Parts: sequence; C-alpha cells; structure tokens
Amino acid sequence: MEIVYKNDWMQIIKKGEQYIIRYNSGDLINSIREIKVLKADALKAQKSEQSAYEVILKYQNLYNG
Amino acid sequence: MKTLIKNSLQGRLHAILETILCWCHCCYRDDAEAQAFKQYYFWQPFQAFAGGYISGGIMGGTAAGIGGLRSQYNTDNLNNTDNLNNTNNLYNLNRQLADTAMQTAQTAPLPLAAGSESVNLYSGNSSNANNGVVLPWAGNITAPMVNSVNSGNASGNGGVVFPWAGNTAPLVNSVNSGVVAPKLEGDNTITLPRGTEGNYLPTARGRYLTIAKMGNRDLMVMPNGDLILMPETTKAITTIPVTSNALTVIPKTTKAITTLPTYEQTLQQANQATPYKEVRGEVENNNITEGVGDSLNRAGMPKTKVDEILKTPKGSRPDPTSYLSAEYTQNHISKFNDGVTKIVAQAPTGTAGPPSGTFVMPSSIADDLIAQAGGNVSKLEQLLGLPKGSLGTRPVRIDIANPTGLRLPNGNELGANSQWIPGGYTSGGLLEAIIDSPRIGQYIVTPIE
Repeated sequence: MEIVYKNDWMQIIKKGEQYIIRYNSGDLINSIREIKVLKADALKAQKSEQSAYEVILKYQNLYNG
Repeated sequence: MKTLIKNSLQGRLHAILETILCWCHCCYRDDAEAQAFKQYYFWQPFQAFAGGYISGGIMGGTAAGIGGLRSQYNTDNLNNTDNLNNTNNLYNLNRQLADTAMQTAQTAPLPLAAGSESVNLYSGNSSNANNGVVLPWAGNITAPMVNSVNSGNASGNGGVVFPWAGNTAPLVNSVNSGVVAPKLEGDNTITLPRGTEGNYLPTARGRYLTIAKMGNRDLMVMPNGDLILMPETTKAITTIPVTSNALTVIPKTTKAITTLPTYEQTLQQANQATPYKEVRGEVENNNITEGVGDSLNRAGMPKTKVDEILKTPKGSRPDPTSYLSAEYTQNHISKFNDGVTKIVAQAPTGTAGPPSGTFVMPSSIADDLIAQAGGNVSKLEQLLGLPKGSLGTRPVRIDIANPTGLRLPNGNELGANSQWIPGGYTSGGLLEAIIDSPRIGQYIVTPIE
C-alpha cells in the first residue's frame, strides 16, 4: 500500500493496481470515507481541490451518496 | 364445587410435577442446576425471558434447553400425562408459583422450540404482567412452535412478538391476551408489545392508540389523531433502531427478523426521547422522505419539491435560498449562534472536513445527547440514529466556537449522503448546518467520556 497523494483532508492510496481515495467527507457524524477510483480519476483528483471534489462527487452519484 | 375440583386437580398436578421434578433433580449435577430447571423451564418459562433480549446465545440456549427437556427428563412422562398437557391446569399451577420464582427467572434462556417440539409459555403473574418478549425464529416446522401463550390473568399484557419466516405449521396454536404471531411473508403483521398504559410504538414517537392494516402496511393511529403508515421493504431487518425523533420502520420482509428491541428497551427509550417531533414520510429506496403528498416538511417544503431536489444529482442541486424563505433561513441559522459541534469516531488530523464544508449541529444539542448517553457509546449511537459500533470505542466531539460560513446545506456537500434531505434537519430530526471546514487551531477536540 502506497500513499501517492496527501493533503489535510484527503489521501490517494495505491494498493496493487487499485486506487483508493480516503477522504474526510464532513458528515455530521463520522466522516472518513473511502472510494475505489480509476487511475485516471486518481490522477485528476490530485490536480486541485475542485478536481478532487468533482471526482468524489462522480463516484458518490454513481453509488447513491 | 368447581373450585374444589380445580383445587383438587391442582394439588394432584402439583404432586405429579414435583415427582417428575424430583426425578429430574437426580439427573442433574447439583441442586442448583435442578432448581434452575425447575424455575426456568417449568414453573416460570414465560417469566424466564421477560425483559430479556434476543441473541444467538439466547437462541442457542433455548435450543439446548428444549433439547435438555426432551433428552434428560423423559418427556414421554410429560407428554403422556394428560393433566400436564392440560393448559389450564398447568397455567393455574404456574400462577400459584409465579411470584416466588419471578426474580430468579429473569435472565434465563428462552424455552423456545427448536424444531417440531412444542412448549407452553405463560407470564404467570397474579397482577398485571407486562412481558416484552420477542421470539425470533426462522425455520420450517411440522408442528406448532409454541403450543399456547397466556398472559396469566385477564388484565395482563403478555407483550409478545413472534417474527416468523417458516413455511408450514402455524407458529402458535392458541393465543390469549397480548400476543401476536406474525408470519414474515405474504400479509405480514407485527403487533407491538403492549403496556398497561396503552400500546407503544418502538420509537420516540410515543404511543399509538390502535393499529390497522392498509393493504400490506400497518397503519397506526396516534393519540393526536395522526395516522402513520408504516412502510414496506423486501429487505430483512437485522436491527430496529430506536432513536430520538425518528420514525422506526417496520418493513415487510421475507426473512426472519433476528433482533428487535424488547418491550422494556422500547418503553425506556421511548420515554427518554424528548421532545417528540413529528415526522411524516413515505418510503423511497427504504428511506423516508419527509412530507406526504403535498403536505409540508419541517422546513415548510412540499414533498414534491423535496423529491425534485433529491432527484437532482449532487453537484447540481439548487441553493436553499431558491426554495426557502429568508426568514426561515435566518431563524434556522440563529440556532447555531452559540457554537457548533461534530461527533466523530476519531479526531481529525488536519482540516475537519473537505473544502465544500462540513456538517455541524448546535453545541447545546450535542451537550444534551452526550449527557443523555452518560458515557455509554452504544446509547449515544442510538440517540444519533447510527448503527451500533459506528462511533468506535473512543468517540470525540469537535467544538467550533466561532464558525465561519454558517449556512444551510444545499445537498452538494461531500458529506450529504443518501439520507440527506433539504431544510436543515437530518432525517432523524436533528438540526444541521454547514460551516467552512475548520482548520487546526479553529476547533477543539474532546474525548466523550
């Protein structure tokens, strides 16, 4: 497992060929969440906070929240 | 004359039972074990699980108990004794001994049939009996699981729920007072345990006066005249949360319910949950969205508008100023003026939330919930409407005394999950707002003791 990107609210982790975004969602209660993402999205999420937001939203909309 | 005959019969039965129990006694390793059998499985089987809870352990103990009854105590003697199979006589004997055995029988295993066996259950109290009992069971049987269930007196309330997912014989042969045995497929009905003050809904919503059916769904009539239509679902229930201000859903299921709150737990939690706030809802994807038809939710929004917003993908949902009045918004936000709080399983290591903002509740509400929990994490989870274990073992509160960017959530936040509804309240009725995610130094983390 390798942390390929990190800021103060999000980490992008590479586990084998799998990319995982672990982030603080800001839920009212308990807010650490993880989503598995494509490599391209993992790369996009590192570009800016807005890009990270868009990537996470994309997966949240895919999986209903 | 009738009384004389009954007393005589009781005396004979008592003697027979004592003889059998004396024989049983010899099979046991010691006196205590024999006494336990006598009290738990014979004289006071129903009292044995009054106020108890359901778990695999209890089910296992139950099966073992029945197995023991069959193999160790020569049930042929019991089954071939007409008098012993006479429910009324055994019931009367049970009543005589109920009060003395009640205390020691409180935590005993359930005398629940594991297969084709049958048992008799009695509350056995000479005064009002309020036994909150749930017997979850899922299997196919060829004989009734329970022979008969009696509250023990004419005015007693043997509050019993028998969720069942079997396919063959009826669960209970005869039912007397305060007992319901629903089959969890087809037309599924669950009647909730009843107390001396009326019927209780296992939520913070208080008591219902009566319950009826609307199609396959339960319709509850509340004291204030409100009607609550309970939703359906095809998913099994593993737990029914009892949370403050939340509508508990008792859905239709084709699988066995394995856990339900006992009557005592239900009553305790319902009484503790104040203030009572009304939630009306309809079920979509097993979630309740506020508002029924064109009625309004807490924020004064019609359900059609709520649904329209929820159907909009995250990222494109409208700003609350487009559907909520300035007065409502101002009033809502003013409730957060004395500081805001988050409750989480672990302390943040950096900014306490993403750039899109973080959800908070008024600190006064967090104070109240934490005080109610009294250091019990499970209870805190229950009050917050969270699944058991979700706060871990050492939750913390994050207090932000001077939040910036205090605003109503718009549903585009990363923390707006599938339960989110517009208007500034959680689906469980807690006040919520969004603030700019506080950086280190802008918040204080305190372990919840």
